[in-house]
Amino acid sequence: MNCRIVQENLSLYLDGQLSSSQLKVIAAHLESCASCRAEYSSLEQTVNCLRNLEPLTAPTGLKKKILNQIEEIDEKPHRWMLTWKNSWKYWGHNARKIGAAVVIIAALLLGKTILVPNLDFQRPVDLSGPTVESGQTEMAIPKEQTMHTMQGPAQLQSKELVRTDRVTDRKVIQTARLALLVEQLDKAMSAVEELAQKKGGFVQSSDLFRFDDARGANYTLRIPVDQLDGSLDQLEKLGEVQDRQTSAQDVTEEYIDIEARRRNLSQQEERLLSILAQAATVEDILQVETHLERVRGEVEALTGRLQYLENQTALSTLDIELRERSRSITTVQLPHDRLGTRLKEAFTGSINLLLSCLGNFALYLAAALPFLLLGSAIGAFGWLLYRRIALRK
Amino acid sequence: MVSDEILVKRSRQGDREAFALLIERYQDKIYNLTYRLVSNVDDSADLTQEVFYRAMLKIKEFRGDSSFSTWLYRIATNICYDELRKRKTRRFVPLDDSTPDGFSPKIADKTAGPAEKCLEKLMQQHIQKAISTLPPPQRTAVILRDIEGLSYEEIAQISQCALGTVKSRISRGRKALRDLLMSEQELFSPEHVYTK
Repeated sequence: MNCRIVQENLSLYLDGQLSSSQLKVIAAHLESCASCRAEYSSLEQTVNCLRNLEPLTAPTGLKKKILNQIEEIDEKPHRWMLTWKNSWKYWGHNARKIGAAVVIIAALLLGKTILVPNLDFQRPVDLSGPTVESGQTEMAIPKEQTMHTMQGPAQLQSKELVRTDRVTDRKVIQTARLALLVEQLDKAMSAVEELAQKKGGFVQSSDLFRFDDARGANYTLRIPVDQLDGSLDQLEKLGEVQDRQTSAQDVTEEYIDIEARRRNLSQQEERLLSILAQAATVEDILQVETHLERVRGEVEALTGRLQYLENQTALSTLDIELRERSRSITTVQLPHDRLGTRLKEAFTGSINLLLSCLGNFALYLAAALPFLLLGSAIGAFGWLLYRRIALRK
Repeated sequence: MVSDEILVKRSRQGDREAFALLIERYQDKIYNLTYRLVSNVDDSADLTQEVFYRAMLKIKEFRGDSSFSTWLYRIATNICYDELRKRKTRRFVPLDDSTPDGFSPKIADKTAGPAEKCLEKLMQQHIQKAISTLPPPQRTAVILRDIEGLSYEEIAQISQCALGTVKSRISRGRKALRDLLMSEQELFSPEHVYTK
């Protein structure tokens, strides 16, 4: 392995961020190459310096300051912060108007429950205070129980059915990483972009960078899972493979778990809504509302997580690193440290300059040869003539 | 210890005590990060406050796609970038030469005299000065990796870029820092080099 490549990878080597074969190759190279070893130790020293920087502690009282600032949000609610909880406090100032409105609504609701008792509801609900207060726990459990008892003897069979059904639809997050050394970066880049489109995926992010005197590009592609292997094989043909890793994370269990929790919560939400419809006093309404808000918040969070998992499993993530092979001019290597690389470049540069000077000189000679021949022939003739005239005298 | 997840959940429901615990847990880390990014003690205290304030405002939008710390770090780096951008256009803030509050250099030799302390202090400032010359993306990557000790994957999530980008940023940042620090070799002579 060439010193340049080793030195480029030393930072990753330091963090163990390379494949095991690469780590071995670099370790072996460091054994034998003094200049790379010097480079490595200086880098290590720098990193140690950073690691050992004295950690600062936040000034005392900062936490209090932050909390005070947050308290201010509560006191003068902004429009975007008008959540249920905060709006209550806000409403407190207009208590009379709002109270009147609530009483009217409550009266209407009450009237409805008295006139049409239990017509809309499958199960009468006790409206006394404590039930509502501990509503969440008490309501969740009976629902589950009734479901289980209803399944009865068929329970085992159906559970098995569900399981086999889901095995076929495993949720797996596939990721792959490919590092390539390519001859022509521009060509490889357009090939990568084209491939992403052809396979029905897209380029999630890309960037172009320059590292020392070589160029490179990083891509993150999102490719349909079934196209991943094909894409990798195709991409490998673009250049020399330096690193290829694939990994898969099975999140089926998490997915099913979250789905079940969401279902449960949705049922709870429905139930709370039906309780709300029957609530008689203002206090009851408000209490149910708090529960409802919490349940809805949780449902939303779970839905977000489900969507994230869907997205991650539907498309695999493919990190590609392209690096152009640098056309290096260094053919002479000096065993020296960092200064050495500069010396080396200056030295080889001068040699090249000298060689090109010599070359130009040779070229000039070759070009001038006919004239020189002619000139010397004339000169010789002239000289002979001169000699003859001089001798005659 | 109560997990971040539970504290976040409670904070979302408006539990201030839960959020106070989160502040306690992360304030030093965020303070460190902001100081290393903007190189000014007073500003970093204000920025840390801003980070938590914004986190509180937005905590309902936090969906749990990443861990809470990753999310918080992302807010912090964004706020610091805003600050750096403001400085560029509006005002010039000289690099802070005073050492931050609560900074107490640990010196291997307990009997170290004022001269050593002074050198130690110089060294710290010197490193911070070098860090502040890095372009912000590299600066962030190196700080998160070597000072905050995060993994490459976490850094990619925080800076919302590809893993390969993080790798090259860290490599380049470290090399640039090395060159800067090595140019003043005397500070690195064996007796002043940091050892464990």
